[in-house]
Amino acid sequence: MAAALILAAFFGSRFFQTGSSDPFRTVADLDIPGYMENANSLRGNVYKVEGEVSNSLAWSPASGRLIAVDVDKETIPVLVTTEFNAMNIQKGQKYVFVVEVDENGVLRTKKLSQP
Amino acid sequence: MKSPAVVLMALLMGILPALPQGGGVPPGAGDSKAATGGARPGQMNEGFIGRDVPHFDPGNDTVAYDGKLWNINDNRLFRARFEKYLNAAPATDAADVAYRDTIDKIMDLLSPGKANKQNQDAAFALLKKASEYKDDANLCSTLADAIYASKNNLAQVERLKQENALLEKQRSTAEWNNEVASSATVLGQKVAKDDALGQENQKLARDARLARTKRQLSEVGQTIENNKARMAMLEMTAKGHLQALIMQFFATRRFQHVIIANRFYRALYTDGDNSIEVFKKMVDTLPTNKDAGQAKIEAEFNPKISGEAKGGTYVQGGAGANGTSAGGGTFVPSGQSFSAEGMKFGVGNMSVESLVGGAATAAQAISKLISSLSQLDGLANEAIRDVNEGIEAYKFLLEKNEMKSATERLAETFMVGEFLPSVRLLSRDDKRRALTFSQKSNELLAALEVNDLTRAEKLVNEMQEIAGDFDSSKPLAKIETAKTVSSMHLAKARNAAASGDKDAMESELRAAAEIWPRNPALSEVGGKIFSQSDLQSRAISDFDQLISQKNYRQIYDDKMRFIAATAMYPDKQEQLRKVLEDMASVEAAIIRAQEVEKRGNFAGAWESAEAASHQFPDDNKLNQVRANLTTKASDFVRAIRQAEELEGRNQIGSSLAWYLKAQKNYPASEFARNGIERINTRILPDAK
Repeated sequence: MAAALILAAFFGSRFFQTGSSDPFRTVADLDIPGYMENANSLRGNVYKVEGEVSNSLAWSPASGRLIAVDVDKETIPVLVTTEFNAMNIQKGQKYVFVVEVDENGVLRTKKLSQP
Repeated sequence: MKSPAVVLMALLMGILPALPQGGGVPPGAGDSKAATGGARPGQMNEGFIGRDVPHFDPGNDTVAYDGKLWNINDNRLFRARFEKYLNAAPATDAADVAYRDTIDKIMDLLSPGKANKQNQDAAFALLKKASEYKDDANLCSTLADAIYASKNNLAQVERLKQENALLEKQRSTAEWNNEVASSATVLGQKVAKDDALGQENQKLARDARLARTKRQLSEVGQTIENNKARMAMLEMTAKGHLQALIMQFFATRRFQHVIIANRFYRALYTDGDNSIEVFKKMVDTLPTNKDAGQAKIEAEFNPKISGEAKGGTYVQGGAGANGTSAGGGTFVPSGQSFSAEGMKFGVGNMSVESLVGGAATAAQAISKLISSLSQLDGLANEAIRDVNEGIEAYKFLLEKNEMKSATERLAETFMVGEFLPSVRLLSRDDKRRALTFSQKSNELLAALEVNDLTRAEKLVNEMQEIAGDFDSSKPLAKIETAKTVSSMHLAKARNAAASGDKDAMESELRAAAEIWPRNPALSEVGGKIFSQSDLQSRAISDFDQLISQKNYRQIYDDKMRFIAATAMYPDKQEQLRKVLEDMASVEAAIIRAQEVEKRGNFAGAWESAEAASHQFPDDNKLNQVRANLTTKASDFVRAIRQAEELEGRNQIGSSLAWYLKAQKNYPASEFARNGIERINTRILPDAK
């Protein structure tokens, strides 16, 4: 019984340990196809996007950095705002972005972490 | 070299009167001008015989007369007559032979040494027979009538002579009686010297006796003188008749008749006087007003002699206007007087160019050259000899195949001796060879006159073949020169047409046509030019229509046609230049797309075509290429299209995602790169 409890405690702790490693597990994933077809319906919403940085498209000291992120088989642009300037985002790195779809359909980063 | 008889005959052929009086060249006789090149020859100057006498220039075969030139070998009237002769059968039928025999017999009977009274009568009788043949044209009959009239006149003269002999006897008797009457007194009657009354009575009685004898003497004397005047007039009238007839024979080139009439004349008038003074006076009275044209002559020999003797000279003269008569008086050198209104010549200006009128001029010219019948006889004999030699020369030249010389010799011979046996007897086969050459010569002249150079050249070649002595250098030189000049005008016309100078083109075409109307190249070039003109108009119309339809592809495909058509329209040229430059860009884009496609890069190929289609959206060919490539690069195309659409709807985030997708598909895509840059700028306007 004790062993069962030990095992249960072990797997239970692993369970909680895992759940606590995805800080944005409550945020919905961005529907990539839907976004590409029509972003109007997504405006103002916050989504989670996990992908690999494939390219840096542009950088503005005032607005931040525009990067291309490969998600599944698509590539979407994500604007990493200036609050994340401290992070050294490099091509080929994987990140989890919490983004907000702005009025022009641009994905503005709200949160950022490495998986 | 022509004999004097030949030159004289040129006048008498009746051709000279056909010359214009105004000094111009008649249409049909442009030949004389052509023969001399229009230059005024030296012969036009006053020569030693002046201008009144025809002057022959052997250098160019022209006769100068009355300030005009006439080419004896090149005259329409003569050509027609000559060709008629060349086509005629030889005069060898029975009637012709009989006629020639009769004429020969007459000439033989009248030949010197044989012309006795008996032979003259026999010859006279044969005149009637000769006139029965058509070849004689009744000339012998006319001659017989003139001879008969002369004989009657001479018989009348003889009777007057006999009458005068009797009158002389009467005059002698009258003179005796007068003498006796003047001296005779009344028998036995004596009158005392102091008997004045008796003396007076005796004088009255003598005067009474003398009055009768004086009257008789005067009458006889007057009759004798009148008879003498009548004899002179009769003799002159008869001579005048015959001389005029002989002249007519000569003028009509009846040389045998000239000789026959001359011999009759000598037989009739044995006084040895054969001068033609009577004839000269006749023709000098003919009015030949050049401005009014040639006169028509109606000669009349009907002297009216008055019976009064006034011991002087009576001359009556007058001039008649058109259609009236001119009276010419005569001169009696003996001092005896009579009035004569004979030798009348009716003058009718029936036709300016009448042959009869021309004969008047010709007769005057002859009378200046000839002074006696003996001279005329000699000329007739010379003409006969010349004609016979001419025929012999013609036959010889035929054998040598020298047709040009042969034809010229025959023409000259025919002109003089048209009615002589040697000419009439020439066989038709011999004449036909000259006819062929003559016809071709005439055709050549006609062809050159109308500048039918093709035909002229053909004729020259044919004439060279049939006549070894034909000199083709002159006609060929003219033909070649004219051809060259015509070709030059045609070339100028082509250039003018190409440069759009319509006036110059028409002028040059007209000039070329005038020089060589039947130039084969003329219609060909003219047709091309006018066809080009037509094509040009249509091309310009098409160009305008295609421009309005923006169908630049059609313009490009037919660019050579439009380049030529717009050559003379600067504004359209500029339009065309722009279209062709654009279409060159389109073509380059298409070629580029096709090249890229060949490498399997459909996206790149489509992008090339798409880029061009933005500039030239209406080009069908480009659109077709683009459509084909759209199918082959559908993913890329869809990405670009979607990106552009979303960009247009301000969904720049999504749009950028599609551009990135397209770039991933075709990394070298300019569309994708440009789109990304555009979106980047919109997202980060201050991007660095």
